[in-house]
Amino acid sequence: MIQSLQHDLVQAWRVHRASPVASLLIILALATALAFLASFLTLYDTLRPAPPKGFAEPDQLITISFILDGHPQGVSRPQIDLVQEASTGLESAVGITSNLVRWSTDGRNGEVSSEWVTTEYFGGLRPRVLIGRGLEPADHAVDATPVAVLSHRFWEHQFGGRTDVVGQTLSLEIEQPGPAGSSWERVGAVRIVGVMAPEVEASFGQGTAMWLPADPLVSTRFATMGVPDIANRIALYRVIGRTTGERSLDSVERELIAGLVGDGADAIVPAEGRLRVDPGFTFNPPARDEQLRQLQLLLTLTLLVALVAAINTGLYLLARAPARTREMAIREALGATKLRLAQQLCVESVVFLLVALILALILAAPLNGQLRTLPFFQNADWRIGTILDPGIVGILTVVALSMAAISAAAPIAVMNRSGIHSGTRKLGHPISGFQFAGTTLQIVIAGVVTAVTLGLAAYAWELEQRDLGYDRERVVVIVPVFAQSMHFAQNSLEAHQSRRDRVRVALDGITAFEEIGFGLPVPGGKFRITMGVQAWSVDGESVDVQSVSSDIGYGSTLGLRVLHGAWPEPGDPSSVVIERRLAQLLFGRADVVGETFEVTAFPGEPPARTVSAVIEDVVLAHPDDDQDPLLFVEATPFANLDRIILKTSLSPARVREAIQDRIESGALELEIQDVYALDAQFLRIVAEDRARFRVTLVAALLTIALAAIGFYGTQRFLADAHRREFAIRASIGASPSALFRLAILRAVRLGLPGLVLAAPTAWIAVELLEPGLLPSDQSPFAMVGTASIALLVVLLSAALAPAWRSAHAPPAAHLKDD
Amino acid sequence: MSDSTIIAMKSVHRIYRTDTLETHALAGVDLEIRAGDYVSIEGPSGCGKSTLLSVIGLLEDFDLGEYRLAGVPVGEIDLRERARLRNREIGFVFQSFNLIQEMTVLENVALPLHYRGGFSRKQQLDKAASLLDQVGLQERADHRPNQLSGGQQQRAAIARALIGDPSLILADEPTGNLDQENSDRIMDLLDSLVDNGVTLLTVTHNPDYARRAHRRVQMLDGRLLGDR
Repeated sequence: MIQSLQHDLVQAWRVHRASPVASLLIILALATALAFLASFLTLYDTLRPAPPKGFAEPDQLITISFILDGHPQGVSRPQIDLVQEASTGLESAVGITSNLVRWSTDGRNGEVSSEWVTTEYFGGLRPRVLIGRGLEPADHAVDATPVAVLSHRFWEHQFGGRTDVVGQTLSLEIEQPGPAGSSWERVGAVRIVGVMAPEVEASFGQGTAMWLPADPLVSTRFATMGVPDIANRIALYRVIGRTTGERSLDSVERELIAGLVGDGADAIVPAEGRLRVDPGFTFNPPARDEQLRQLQLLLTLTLLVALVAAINTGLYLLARAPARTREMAIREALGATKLRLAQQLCVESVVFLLVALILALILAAPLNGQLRTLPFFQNADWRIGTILDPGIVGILTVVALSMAAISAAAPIAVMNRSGIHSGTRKLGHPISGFQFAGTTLQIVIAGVVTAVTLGLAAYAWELEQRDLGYDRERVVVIVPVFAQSMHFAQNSLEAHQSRRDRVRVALDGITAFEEIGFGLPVPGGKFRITMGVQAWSVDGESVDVQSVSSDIGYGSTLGLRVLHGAWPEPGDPSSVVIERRLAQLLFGRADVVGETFEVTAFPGEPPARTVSAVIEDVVLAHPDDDQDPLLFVEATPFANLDRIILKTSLSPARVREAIQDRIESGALELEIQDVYALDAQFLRIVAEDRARFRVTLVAALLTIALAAIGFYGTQRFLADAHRREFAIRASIGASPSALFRLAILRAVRLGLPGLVLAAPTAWIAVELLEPGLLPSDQSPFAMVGTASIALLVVLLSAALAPAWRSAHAPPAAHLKDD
Repeated sequence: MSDSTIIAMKSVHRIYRTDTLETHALAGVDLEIRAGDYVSIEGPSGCGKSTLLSVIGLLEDFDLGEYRLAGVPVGEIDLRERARLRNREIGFVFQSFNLIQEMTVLENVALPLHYRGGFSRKQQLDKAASLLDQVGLQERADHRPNQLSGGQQQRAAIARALIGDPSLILADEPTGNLDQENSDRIMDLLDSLVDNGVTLLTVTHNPDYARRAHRRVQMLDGRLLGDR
């Protein structure tokens, strides 16, 4: 057995070595497909919901999320108790918030992530503690001695895994927000009371260094805010918990929704919000769902590429069949059974796949790191995972063996048809079922992937072309930090005006700055303030608008298009600018200059506002995101966070230099936090869409290349298998051009079923993906039609060389008897 | 060279080269064949008979010398013109018949007219049927070649060679794959073609069949040794 395997391995080596470039290409294609598969499987494994490790009865652990506008919201400390009380199926509810802390001890120090947890974390969730104890209820008292439980990793790295760590102390500092930004506040000596088991990871994200009691630290952190009882009012916790295990997640979820969603006294989110319960711990379930959906799409894509690669390997091995028929016949004549010959062919395929698998595992680790940086995976809640996870290696091995079986099937089938008695007088092997099915299938797959890629390309192009209502060219945004309080109660409109005037005067001398404006948010920014508007034209129905702090320069710098009226002069807080759609919503028409309506005002602001101008609609965020209508006021309560907007030809770096000069000369009092070009910011907004397009493009190019190589291989096979037929035709007077046409016609005939099937399949794929991933305005017909034409061109190109070879082969040699 | 000369070769060389070896398959062949000739080329295996036939039939290039087929200088024409010349002037009969298995016998016979152009499909098939009738295969017109015996296949191949009314039939070991009875029938058929004015050039190992030719040419080591 071993001897026969050895013989087959030696033979496989000789066969593959005979055409090294082709063999290398096949191995690279297989390795690339398997490497992507390994990477995406690892990503999927580390992102999918899974019972957290290191906890008792981990299947009972859940995340309870409150979703508003598609984003999970934090809850306050008392609301965690409301959650606990809202369902009898809930054994415990725990609040958790992650924060950076600075630690030091014995001359060592660092900045690490920590989890601040509420009372029930250790008692309710029951993580395994390796040394010492977890946090106890008494540790959560505001005046309790500060204590910490270290993570296993932090303990090993910083304390060398010493068991006497319990009882030692760390000096800890936490970040404290203040009027001029944040500062680090010393908490004091924190006593280490335990070390977590190695399998317990951070509840969210990749790792944490320590678990700390939340209540005392939150009180300390916000002590300087001057807001009474802020520790209980600020919504900074995410909720995780444990069910009793006796009820389904759905019933617990229904019970929680009944008590916590809507207009009730205990409601945490309004009726338009959502509450969802997910198994395990997940920081952002909607985002994770979206990321898993992306991964499923990419996994599907990769499996299709792998399938195409396997088919190609089969077609490649098959392309050698005419040349090897005689070899196989001789082996059979010498006593080899069909089974024995099949074994040899299997070994030849397995050798390809094993080499590719090893190469794939080597490539997968760096590839995995690269894929994690894709924009649509940023902020993903990855768990710690490895490509060498036995499950992943197992799946890969099964996939690789299946690929080997697929690729070995074709030559074995051909060998079964040929042998000692056939071949010598035949003019050539007709195309096998595998070749036909394989060629058709890979053309269909290439058609689907190409159509989807074209759809994504069209969408990415449309996004960049779309009129967002503002100019992106030559606009630079400065994010300043003004030395003023962040609380609106301490900022007057006069203060804002005065600050804007000072900046304007300071920058006035810089001739490269053509226009200057102030405002918040700017397009592409995440900051938003929503307020209600009482629209009396619709009988008091309230609509939500997004309030934009802006001066007259905001409109001109960004090129906002005024349809009616004019931007208000400074100093008139009751005059506002509204978008056309808000005008339509409130008054049913666009020309509403001079009309008045009431807003839900912040303290100190006038409730009645008069429309000074109506502008064309503006899209501040992603062009396809839902956005409340915009209301442009002179200053929102957060106007002290105003961005400075410049119309200039200077690069952001030059702008920074110019402003830094003014700061250093004393003409300007601010710190520069960031400077960026608006068009670059726009590219960041659509980065996910562009990345999706690029990844799909890589898959499409790979699939098309593989399909073209496979088609070329099949044509080569046909050219070799039909040499004698073509020689006969040549002998009776067929010209090279007639033979070339015949070969091309046969290629078209071979590819046509694939092309015909690809069109409806691609159409279905595009239609299925269109609502979420392909919101393009282009018709599916255009995408599918273009993909079909592109594929036809590629396939014809792949058929050219074999057709030319068939047409120009010297006939004499092939007309003689074998 | 008279007007009736079909083949005129002067000092034709055909050289096969590998990295280390140069083989002169034709080492200066001089040959002239006139219309109506029946020529047999004889010689041991590997002496260059088949190569000579391939060069004469424009299936293979020659490297040196001069070759005119029906007055056309072969060395000066392109592949397309060679194909046209092959179609109009030459009919091949091979040892292994070389019929296309995917086509019926009738379609095989009609194929040269398809490549010639100027014939409707019906005309092609009618003429093919008429030739199959001549070679006694009218009943087998719709069969595939592999449903025919060797002798029948060779008769179909002869019909195909004749369909274009060529000025020259080249027969390379036409009885090599046949039994005695079928071989005799094929040779009788070829003889009858010559009687009807067809020019025939055959390669054969069988001295009895070679003796049927009007002219027997000996070949050795790529050279023609002269007529016997």
